[in-house]
Amino acid sequence: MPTRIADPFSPRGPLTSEQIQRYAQGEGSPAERHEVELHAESDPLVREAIDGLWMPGAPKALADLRKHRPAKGRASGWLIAGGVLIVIVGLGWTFLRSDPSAMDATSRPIIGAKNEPGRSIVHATLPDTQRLALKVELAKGRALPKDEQAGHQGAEHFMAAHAAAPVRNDPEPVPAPIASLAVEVRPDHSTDAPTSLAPPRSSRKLLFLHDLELVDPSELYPTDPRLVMNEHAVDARFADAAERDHTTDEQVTAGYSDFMEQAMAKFAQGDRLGCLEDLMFLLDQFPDDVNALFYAGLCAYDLGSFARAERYLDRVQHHTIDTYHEEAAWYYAQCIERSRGPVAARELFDRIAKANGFYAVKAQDKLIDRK
Amino acid sequence: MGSGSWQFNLVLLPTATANWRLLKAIDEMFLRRTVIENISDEALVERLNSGHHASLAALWDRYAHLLFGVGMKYLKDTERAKDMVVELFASLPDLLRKHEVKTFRPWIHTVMRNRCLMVLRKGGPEARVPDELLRDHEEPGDEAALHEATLQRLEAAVDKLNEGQQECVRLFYLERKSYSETAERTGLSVEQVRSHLQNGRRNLRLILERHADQNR
Repeated sequence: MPTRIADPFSPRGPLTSEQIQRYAQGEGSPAERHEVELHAESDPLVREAIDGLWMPGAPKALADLRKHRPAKGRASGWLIAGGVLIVIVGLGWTFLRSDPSAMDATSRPIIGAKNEPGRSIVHATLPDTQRLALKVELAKGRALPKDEQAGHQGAEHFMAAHAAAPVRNDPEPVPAPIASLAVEVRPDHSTDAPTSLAPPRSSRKLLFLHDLELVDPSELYPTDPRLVMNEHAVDARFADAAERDHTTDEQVTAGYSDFMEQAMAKFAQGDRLGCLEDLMFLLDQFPDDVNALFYAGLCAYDLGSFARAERYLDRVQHHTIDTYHEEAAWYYAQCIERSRGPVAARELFDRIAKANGFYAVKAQDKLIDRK
Repeated sequence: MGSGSWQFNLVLLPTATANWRLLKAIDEMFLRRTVIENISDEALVERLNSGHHASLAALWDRYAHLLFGVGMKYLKDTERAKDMVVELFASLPDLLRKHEVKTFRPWIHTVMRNRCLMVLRKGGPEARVPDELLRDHEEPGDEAALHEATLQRLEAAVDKLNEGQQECVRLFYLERKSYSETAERTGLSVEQVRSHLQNGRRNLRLILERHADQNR
């Protein structure tokens, strides 16, 4: 049988100006240099560029060239002053006249409602060593086929449309699909809906990004936290890290909600690796973040890295924030089933079935299949 | 809460949302958290044509260093190469309005190269442009056959290359050695290695395509 190999003609990723500059200066390991050269072999522009950048004086002149970067166009001082005035008046009006509880529901930013042009996007990059280790880890496993991935196995509790799920009890009325919305979920027993035998879901305030459920950051942190991006990431406004360091001393940060919006967009688009890398970046700074742990667990599961998925999901199913307990237990059991076999997972599925929660029917099906 | 209050808050919603957006915009203006989206070159061109000047900076970030390298290759002068890049970007909005650009990358490469050649030719009759700079540049074309080859098929195709190409292709592509490592191992110069690789890659593609045609 013919052996398929990883395509030796294709570079592993896009080429950054930082890579080119390091290459021109004769820096980088042989492997890094080979990566740039692979680009040169397949792209005439890169080929000619490195011909020129090898020439004496080119690397230094390239650094000088950055001074000529076109401005992005900035609003005039009058416009800014006018904007500030409008905001002050508008906010004053809103705060003074509106009901405080309604204010909370209406004025909070609707995060991720759409990809508005003008959104600040900061690219998170894992340290090279961590990234490489992840790649090696993933190369050992095998990504799951799409129809077996999280979110593709029928109804899911963490998706906006989960109310349509086949819960064995009388279903609650099905709400319209939610694109992106901050909502308060009250305990099941406090509503007039038919009583469920399933354990009550927590009353945490939720946030839906790209139809995916998250615990609202206000439930996790006193203020929307900011991630420090300087360490490994290059804000999109800079050509590379060198320019960033040269241009600014300020700490580049990204809002938690904006960051999660990007990560969830990747998840929704099926980019599990991109999402996992973003969430690992976040977990470096907020190791106990339940949103990141849960979705990182799902990504790792889908990518076939079951050991990593187990680590994340196990923490989620025992997390003090109980929002994802059911989902985490279900996917943790599936990880165990895939990595250690059905016998090892049997007790876990049995427990899920007996809990009579959202995944009970699916867990029973698993148990029946194994008989 | 009475229905009057509910209606009142509904009226306030746009105000609150607008406030938030304005705050965000001001935050970006003051903190210089400028926006770049992961969009294609062609989409940036479209945005630039509709007056979005930040797109020009985004294109600069993607191409200025590469075009500077091209300028250096042809002009062999850091100041002239820098000027050429700056002038090209200054005229880019006008150029893009006048020309319909389907694929930005090869287009901007050609524009830069042509401008460099024009400068060299303006040097006077004695300023002869070296032949290798005038050679037509080969675009990679459809390389699907290369990317889809199995190991056995690739090995068989490599065996059909001449000795120099075989050695360089094996070391560079299959053993992932850099140009200089390949040059060291083969005793060739880096330039010779690059030439063997370019010709070897083209020949491999032809061999693999021929094989695919025969099997149809």
